[in-house]
Amino acid sequence: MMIAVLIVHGLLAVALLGAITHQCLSALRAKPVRPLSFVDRYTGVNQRAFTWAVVILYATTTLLGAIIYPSYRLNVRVPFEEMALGWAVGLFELKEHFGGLGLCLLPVYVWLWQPQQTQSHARDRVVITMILAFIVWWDFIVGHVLNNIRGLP
Amino acid sequence: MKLRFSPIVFMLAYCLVYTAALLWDLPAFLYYPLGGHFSWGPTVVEGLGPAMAWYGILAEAALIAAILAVIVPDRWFADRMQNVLWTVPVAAMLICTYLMRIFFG
Repeated sequence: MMIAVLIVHGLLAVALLGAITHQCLSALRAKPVRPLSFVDRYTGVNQRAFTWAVVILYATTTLLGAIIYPSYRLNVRVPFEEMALGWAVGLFELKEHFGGLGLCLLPVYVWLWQPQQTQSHARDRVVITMILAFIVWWDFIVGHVLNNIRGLP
Repeated sequence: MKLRFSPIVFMLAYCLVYTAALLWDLPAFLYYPLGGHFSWGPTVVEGLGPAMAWYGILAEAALIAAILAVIVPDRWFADRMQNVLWTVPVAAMLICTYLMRIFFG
């Protein structure tokens, strides 16, 4: 059961990674480099269209992570400690806390992407989106590295 | 009276409560995954196996932040913290990183 939840958690994380990276790079783009280049096509998206997808995917992925967390605590963290892999435990602790802090960014992220805030909070919008993107990438990479060291039984 | 939820106040309060709970080890409750038990407060109950504080920290940060987000109007923060809102979650993440340095020593 936990393996199935872990796989869905990972698949949703992939979708979230794609959505937030698209939106983030599009928001960072100053101007088109070359018409119809790959970069232009990748970043030339409707940025606002990703907002609710990111919120739903982030919340769902975090919820599934919270469900499998006890299994990690018992079956993965304890062996990590026995193997003296303190750095691996530390990486997961950062994943856990960054993910938890990311939850509080979601309401303000939605608010910042509303048309009324386009001019007044431009920097906040871009940087908050970048922070969310950083959290998603960090959590994704750390999750994969730790799962490669020792997966859930 | 119409209740208005302030996303800015929610973010600020959540970051402050979350960081404070982590800094002073003050989760609202602990969860013991071995037997599925809960205990109120930060004190670990012996004999129940490893304790998890994350759910307790999340719950207390979300609850306190949600209450403040309804009570405190966001106009003050929206104007005065325009374009520096992002500094608060960045500071919270840096504090978390600093607190987790014990695992990398």
